[in-house]
Amino acid sequence: MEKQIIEDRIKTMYQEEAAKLQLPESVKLQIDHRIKEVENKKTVRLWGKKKLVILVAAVMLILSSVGCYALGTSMYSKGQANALPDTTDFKDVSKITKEAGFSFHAVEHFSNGYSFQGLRVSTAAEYDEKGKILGEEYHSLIFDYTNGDKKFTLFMKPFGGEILSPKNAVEEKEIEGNQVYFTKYVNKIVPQNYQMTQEDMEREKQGDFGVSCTSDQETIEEMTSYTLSWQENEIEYYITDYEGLVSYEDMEEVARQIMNAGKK
Amino acid sequence: MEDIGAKEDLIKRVKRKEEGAFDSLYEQYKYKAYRTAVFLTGNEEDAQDAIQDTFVTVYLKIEELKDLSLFSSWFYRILTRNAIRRSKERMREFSQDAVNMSLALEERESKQNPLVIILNQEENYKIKAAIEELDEKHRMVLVLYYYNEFSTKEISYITGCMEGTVKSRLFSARKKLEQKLLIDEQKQCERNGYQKWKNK
Repeated sequence: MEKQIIEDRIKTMYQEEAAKLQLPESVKLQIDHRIKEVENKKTVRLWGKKKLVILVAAVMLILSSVGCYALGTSMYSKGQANALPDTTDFKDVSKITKEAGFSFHAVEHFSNGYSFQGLRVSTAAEYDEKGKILGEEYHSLIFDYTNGDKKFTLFMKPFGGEILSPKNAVEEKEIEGNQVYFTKYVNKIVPQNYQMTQEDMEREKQGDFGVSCTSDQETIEEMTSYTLSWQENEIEYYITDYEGLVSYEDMEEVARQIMNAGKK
Repeated sequence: MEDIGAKEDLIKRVKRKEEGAFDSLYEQYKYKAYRTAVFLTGNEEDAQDAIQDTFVTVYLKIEELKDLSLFSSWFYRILTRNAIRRSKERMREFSQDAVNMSLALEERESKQNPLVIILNQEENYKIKAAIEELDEKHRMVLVLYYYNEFSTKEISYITGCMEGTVKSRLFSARKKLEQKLLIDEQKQCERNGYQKWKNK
């Protein structure tokens, strides 16, 4: 049998058999579903990549909801920082913050009793719903302040875009000419093998809920935090209380003093 | 050239996870990929699973692909591995699903010349049955070469074998098929001869 004949017969068979095979629509639905599942798992894992203090993860999670108002198209923020502060000495703050690209007057002591405890520099970026990075990576600053048992975190990042009212705003007002927003956020902390439930996904859509995990977490816990945020001089500011011990008045006063720190 | 440019542009868009890009890629590749998977696995169920595995992997791993011109080969490398894995997971049986479906579809084609259809069916059935008897490695090069029309160099990349090995497998697969078909035809002639002699 000639080579050409056998080749033609094989080709013809494949072509004719192939023409009879149709792919069901359900296959694409399954693919989309599986990709979504993997992406959801990835979103949960993002926050547990390092054995990081929950605090840092939670700051970024809060931004995942406020990010929508900060960037317009951003779905969430992701960032990494050292578990321990980069410095606990206020003298280093000016140098570190300048190196990170920030120009502002940091406050060591607030008149209502809160004092500087430490500073971490985080590298972060904004992501869309498909996990695609939006724009460039940027540095952000995480300051810790305490007053006895009460503590808050001051998170600062470069201004991302047009400011709209965040979905989870419980109150908004004007302080020193700046529009500020009070927001409430529930952070569900889960073990690493946790899979997001339908209820989690529904709650996330509301904008005041997120899921995070850390490597040493064995049980599921929920942590409610309160944030006061504003934007000024190309910087976004977020003052966050994770334990519900800092009053709104204290947060307002801290914000006012930060706003006035650079003014003579 | 324009076609290659458009393809690479689509791959870039998929890499950037642009809205709708992955859907377009799926539309472009789905039929050829699915049919290849059926030929490799021997049944539609495993082929559908292999297709799912492949497109999910492509979506998640496309960032690892550096040379966009290799996308097609890269895609089929993933597909062939998934197809082989899926078919190994299952006890491979003769592709009864495909045969049943072929018969159902062929009934719809009955407005054509019935004699031509029967002859074509018989011809295809013989080749298909002969290919089914080949081992997985030989079947794979046949599908990739004669159905997907990849070059031996591309098949070498897809299968991870030396080009010489691909050529040798092609040659040997063709020879085996040729022998098998010759034997079948001889048997058929003998039966026809016996029938003629009997009818005298």
